[in-house]
Amino acid sequence: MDAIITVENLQAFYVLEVMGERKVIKAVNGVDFAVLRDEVYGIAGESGCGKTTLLKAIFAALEPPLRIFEGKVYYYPNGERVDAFSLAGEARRKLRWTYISYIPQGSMSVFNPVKRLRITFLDFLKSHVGGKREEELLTLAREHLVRLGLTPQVLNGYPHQLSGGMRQRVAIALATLLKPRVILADEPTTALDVVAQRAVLQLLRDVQKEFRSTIIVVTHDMGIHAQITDRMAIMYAGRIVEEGLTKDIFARPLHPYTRYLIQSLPKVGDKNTKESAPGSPPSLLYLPPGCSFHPRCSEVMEHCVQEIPPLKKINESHWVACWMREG
Amino acid sequence: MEALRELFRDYRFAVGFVFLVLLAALAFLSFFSPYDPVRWLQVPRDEPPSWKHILGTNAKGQDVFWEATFAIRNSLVVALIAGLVSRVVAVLVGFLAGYKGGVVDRVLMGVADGLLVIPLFLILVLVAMLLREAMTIVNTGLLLAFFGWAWDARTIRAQILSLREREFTQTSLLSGNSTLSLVSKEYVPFTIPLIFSTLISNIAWAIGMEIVLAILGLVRLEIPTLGTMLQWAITRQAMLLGHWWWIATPLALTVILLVALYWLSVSVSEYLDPRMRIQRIGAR
Amino acid sequence: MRFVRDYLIPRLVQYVLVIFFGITAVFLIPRFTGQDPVLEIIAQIQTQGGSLDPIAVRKLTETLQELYGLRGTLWEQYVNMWRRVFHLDFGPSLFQFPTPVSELLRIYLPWTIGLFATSTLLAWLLGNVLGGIAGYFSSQSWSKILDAVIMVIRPVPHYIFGVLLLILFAYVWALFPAGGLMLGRRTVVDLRFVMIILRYSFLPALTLVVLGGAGWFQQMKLLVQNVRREDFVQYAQAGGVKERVIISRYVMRNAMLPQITQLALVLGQVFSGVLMVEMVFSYPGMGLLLYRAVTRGDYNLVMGIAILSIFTITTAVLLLDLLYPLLDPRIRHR
Repeated sequence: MDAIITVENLQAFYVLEVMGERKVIKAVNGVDFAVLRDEVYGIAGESGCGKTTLLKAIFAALEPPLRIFEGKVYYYPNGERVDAFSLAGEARRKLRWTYISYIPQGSMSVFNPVKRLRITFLDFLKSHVGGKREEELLTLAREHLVRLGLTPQVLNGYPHQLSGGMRQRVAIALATLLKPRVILADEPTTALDVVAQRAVLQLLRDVQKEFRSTIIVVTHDMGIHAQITDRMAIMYAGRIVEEGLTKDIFARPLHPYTRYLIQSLPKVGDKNTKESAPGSPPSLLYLPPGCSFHPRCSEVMEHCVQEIPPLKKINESHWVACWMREG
Repeated sequence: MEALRELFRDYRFAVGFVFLVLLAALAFLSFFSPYDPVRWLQVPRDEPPSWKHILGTNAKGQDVFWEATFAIRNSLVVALIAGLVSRVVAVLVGFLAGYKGGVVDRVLMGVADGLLVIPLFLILVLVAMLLREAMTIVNTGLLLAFFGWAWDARTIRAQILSLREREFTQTSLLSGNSTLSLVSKEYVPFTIPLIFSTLISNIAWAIGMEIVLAILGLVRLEIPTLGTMLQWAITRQAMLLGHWWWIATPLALTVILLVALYWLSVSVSEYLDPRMRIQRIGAR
Repeated sequence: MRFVRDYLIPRLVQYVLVIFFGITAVFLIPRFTGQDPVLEIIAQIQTQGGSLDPIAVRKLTETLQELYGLRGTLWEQYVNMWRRVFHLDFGPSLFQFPTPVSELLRIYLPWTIGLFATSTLLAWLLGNVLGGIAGYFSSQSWSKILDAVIMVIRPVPHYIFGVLLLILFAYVWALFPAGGLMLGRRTVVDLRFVMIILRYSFLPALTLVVLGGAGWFQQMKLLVQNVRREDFVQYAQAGGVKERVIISRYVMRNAMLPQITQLALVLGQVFSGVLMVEMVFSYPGMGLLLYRAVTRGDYNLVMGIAILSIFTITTAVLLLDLLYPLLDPRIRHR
């Protein structure tokens, strides 16, 4: 299978200077995985587990105080392997939107509030497509919206005139304007009502079918992973604790944390009280020793406190980092 | 105390503080002045700086240095009266408008906005013109206080509004605490730093305003303040006659005083505004 | 139209109310102070050596009361004042007796408006453009140096800054006249006339532009530093939109909006600054007129200046409020 993004031993930390004291927030702390062509890959976990930081690093959007301490992210445009962090500014700018694109968290405010959407679309198009007149670019944008089942009329409006769900769909349209190979979606449905959520998920699915793009979806909502992802990873405190085919993970979750996440989902006909993980995620500033999850784990053993469990292969596609699965 | 230590880390706060202390010391010196601040012809007139009169003497036969110590003291007193009294009004209006909301809020903010839109300075001049003889230090301070609350009432109201939205207001009210205890226990501690920072900028405003009133001859000119000192120097043509020490002294003192106050207030409000604090942290 | 109901009408109502209360305040305040300007003037005449017999005093009192609109009950005086305001009749000026106050205002007001409008606009534009660029590139050293210089200039009041410039550029280096432009009878507007105006307006305008610009600079810098972190800017950056477009169309364009609201809020203070600067440089505007009126106890003139200034400022604020929706679609298309 062809990889389209590979992440190798990635460590991305925030370095802050608070009152003369250096603090390091280990948001992504040694992550390895590969995303394949044509698939929808999910990353799940509670807020503050480093999901969004991981996306930023994959997108190579590194603004201080975020810094890469170790590891690599590779892109594969035209089949050749490219190191995302060592790309020069202009080369990276060119790959954005054509190779890799980004649907931001809460698109409430991703459009310039004082310009018609037409202008925003043109701004993005102009910086990637050379040698075309404005009308041609506009036609391109209109056709793209129609292809995604949206009315091209939205281009004449201002962002505040659209509903939240519509705005999110327009944001997806903007992100997919140049048919990127990889689309990163950060909490694409958070803050939307259920009906709008469905429409957005449907649109993501359509985009994937239409353009044969790879989509990486990051969300805390396990329901969404169940609905659209093919494979998924569970993140906890900056590390991947389980990875596998989505259907396997839901059918046979191996990590205690994954089980908590799945148990907290409502099911039809289930009258039992929902059980979520007790306590709250650890501060990324002061990680507990050993397995980061041990203070909340109901099956904690002595070994868990002493050593960090490595990600271990269970079968062809299923990996887990837990001492209980050892041997 | 932790807050103070962090504030002193900011060079602007440290510099502003040091200069303010120096000026306060100068003002304190006035109590030991060998001269009467009001009487004329106590020393030879129009002498340039010398060992005997380190900042020279003026056309009224007064020692400029010792006159300046009185001027700073009086200007600071005027500004403090203006600042403190107007704080009372600003806090009352701001708390009331912010907490009560509705009609009370609209009426009070309407008045404040009205005061802001109208060129207040002209109304101030009109009143001062009629009260001219009564414009002693205290009255000048009170008059400035009367006109100087509107802006800060707005600022404080905004702060209260945002506090009211927070969770603890609801929790506190639902758990049966009275409004008064809520305001005094929960809101006051939050707003004190803000009130302090508005106080500093209001003091600076009052010092500037006193100068303008003095230039217009609308305060008791025999009482030395930074404004009246400048007024005498200008009307007696110190500039044209080249008596630079006479006009430079109040100018320099005013600039130092106002820059020091401004730096203090910028430093404090940056410290208060978390958005700006993050910037300082993030900048590395 | 929600725009008319929620935006336009409240602002028009506010306009009328502020003028109404402002002028009422100008009417009431002198009456609350318990001072009688008429008695004061008579006392002034008497101390200046003019001995008046009781009949002359009574006649003078009556004339002055008539002129000041101090006859009749408070209500009658109040109604009378409004009638006079609508006829722009503020009575005669005392220090240029018997020239009507309205005549003096007519001569001096255009000068003030000219200085006020030009310098405010220049200060706003310069301060915002420089502040915006300095805010976007806030980590660069030139931005930090500019910021440090402005930290020293900003707190200096108009009057003091004016005097400093006057000493520097009119006495130490006599590059500019130390004021004293006389308003003759209307002359032909030719190049020479324009040059003279420029020469005399340069220092006053410089004072206003530097001090005003310093304020706008600092606020804009702060605004831009915050707008730069907004999602839509970061997203455009992520999307590879050209930096020039991001600075102008995304960052500056959005940070400008609160600056317009702010301008409306501080216009009254800016106007006061203009009056003070005019005093320093003896620039023939309302400020100089005010100075003369105050030093000679000319209440009519001060009242006239106050009332006209209230009209000027509130109208300017209304114009800004009407302009704002053109720049902010969120107000225009609700």
